[in-house]
Amino acid sequence: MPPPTPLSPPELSYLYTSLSLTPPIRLDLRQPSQFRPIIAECSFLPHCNGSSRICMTEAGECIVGIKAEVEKDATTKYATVIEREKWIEVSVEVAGGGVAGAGSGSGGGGGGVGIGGISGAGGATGRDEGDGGAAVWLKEGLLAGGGGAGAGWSILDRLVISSGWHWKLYIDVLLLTPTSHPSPLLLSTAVNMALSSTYLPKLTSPHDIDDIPTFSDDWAISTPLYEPTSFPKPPISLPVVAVGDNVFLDPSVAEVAAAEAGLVITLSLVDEEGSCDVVGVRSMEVGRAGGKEGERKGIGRKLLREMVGACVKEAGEVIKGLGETTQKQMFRA
Amino acid sequence: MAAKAPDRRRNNPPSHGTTPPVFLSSASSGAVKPKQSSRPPNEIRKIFLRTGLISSVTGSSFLEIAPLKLSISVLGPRPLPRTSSTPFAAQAILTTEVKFAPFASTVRRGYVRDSSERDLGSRLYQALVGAIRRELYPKSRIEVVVTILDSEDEGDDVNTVYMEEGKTTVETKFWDAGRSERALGVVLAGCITAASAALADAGIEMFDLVSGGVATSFVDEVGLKGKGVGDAVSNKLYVRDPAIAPPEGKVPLATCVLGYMAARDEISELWISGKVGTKNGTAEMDELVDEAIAAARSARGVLNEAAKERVQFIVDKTGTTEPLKEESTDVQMTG
Repeated sequence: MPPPTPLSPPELSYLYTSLSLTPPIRLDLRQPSQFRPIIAECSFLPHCNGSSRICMTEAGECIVGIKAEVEKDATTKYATVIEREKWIEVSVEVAGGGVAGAGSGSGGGGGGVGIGGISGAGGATGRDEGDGGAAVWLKEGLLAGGGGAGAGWSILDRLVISSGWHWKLYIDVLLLTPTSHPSPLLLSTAVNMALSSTYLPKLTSPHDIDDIPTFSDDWAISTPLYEPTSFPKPPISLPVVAVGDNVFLDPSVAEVAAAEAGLVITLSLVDEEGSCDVVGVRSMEVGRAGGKEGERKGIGRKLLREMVGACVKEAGEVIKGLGETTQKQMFRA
Repeated sequence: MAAKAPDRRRNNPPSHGTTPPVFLSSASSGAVKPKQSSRPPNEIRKIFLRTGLISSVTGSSFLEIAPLKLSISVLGPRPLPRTSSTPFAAQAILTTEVKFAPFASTVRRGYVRDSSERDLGSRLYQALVGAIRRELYPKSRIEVVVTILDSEDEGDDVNTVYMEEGKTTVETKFWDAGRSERALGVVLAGCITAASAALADAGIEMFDLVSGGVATSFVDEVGLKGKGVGDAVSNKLYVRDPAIAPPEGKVPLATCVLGYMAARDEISELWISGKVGTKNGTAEMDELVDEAIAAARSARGVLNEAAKERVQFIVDKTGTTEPLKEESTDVQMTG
């Protein structure tokens, strides 16, 4: 179910009408491609390899801590794809909520209740945990992003220490504001920033021995997980919704409730100018409230092009800015 | 103890368990290579789809695409329980549940749904929810339950990545990348097509039938090594309904799965994974989506046939019972 809103049908209808005007009028008078301000800081948790804290006006606050552990390869001669995908584990948890969401990554196999366990979907049990899929798509974007499957570059290659040893990355997302439907933007921005600020200790033992690897304890010479000066950068997922022919970036909860179609688009920054590669698209649940019955039930091809186009055109600047902020904070410390 | 006493009422298996016999094929001495399909890339595999096989539920369907076998039951629409905790629902509440049978893949799956199964379930929900006329069924619930009996999983030969000894990094076989996306994509597309058939079988009103389609884009392996992906774009190969093993010498780039309503020309569910657009362009994504839509259109033909077959079956049945009804009423009542 889409996120429950306190808005009544007339209110939603009003919202729908104002959003489908040309030019559209958003509730907070933003431009269609304008983002809301966020508060972001990174690398502030002393026990983590990388961390970030993001505050958003509506979506609330979330903290991400990334910890890396040295792990022996499950097998020495063969490493299965499934084994490799276990090298990254993403979990999303709601602080203070009675039901903590912890869908482990798609390859992780472990169980866990989804975030949606506390959603108001009218006791639709089978459906609820589906929203806990946040961990699944965060990880999917991470594995696909930064070059994609075919480009020969994968974050997993960066996690290899030496033959037989690799880093295991735990990405723990803690939502401080209890919500049944965490904003994809909040989660992915936080994970993006934490990944950019992740540093791993420098290996001091040779690469090619099977022995337990040893590391330097000097953090000044530690190696970044994602090179700050080169590309690719960690991917970021942006929600985008459409009402009528208008496309809106960074939709508010009310806008999602009134929207007809929604997508979460995962982008990865590829150059200095802020160009982006699309590395993933997923449809997002929207309220479909306020419009007339039976008008639009899916996304037409033209609208799809417009939605993805708007996202790649406008979002590069935002992602670039976020990266620059991260860098600034990293080197200020 | 009572638990230890042999159960005499049943025909018991040996207490130590049994192992099924494994027959080695006389021809194969080495590893069996994954079979290369001979079908052209723009053709989907043959689909077997039949509805109404499970009599105890409102609607059901069974689908087979090569090794993939799945059965779908639709329960409802039935009233929501009258409890104080149940909120009023002006529209029918749809729930979807996807479960792999424990024996459906090479690696055994548990009975509790894992995160990938839950994810498939929510994707299926997304695909169907827009197509159903939910406003006609207030205060009720429609459940779609999918059981995957067999899935495409060609064993360890496909599962393993060979790590060369003495190398510092793991050299992934390129065609292994994106494998789970292709496998799950085919499953999801099958689920969407079969679920529409089952919903139609249940007589639930819909705006349009949703059919699922998958397409994967491949590039040449040689063209990729050392070069950026952007250079290799020229010779892209799009494969509709891809098998797990990619075509010889090709590397998967991105996979697109969608639920498509052909009569309305609308996409109800979209999932693209892998590198599609490069440098702010969406042209590549468009091509991939068009291929997936073409695959969904092909599946729609099968879906239409299945729906028609079912209607024909009902019409035939009522057609034959109708004239008999007058005469046979008495017989039935006395019988």
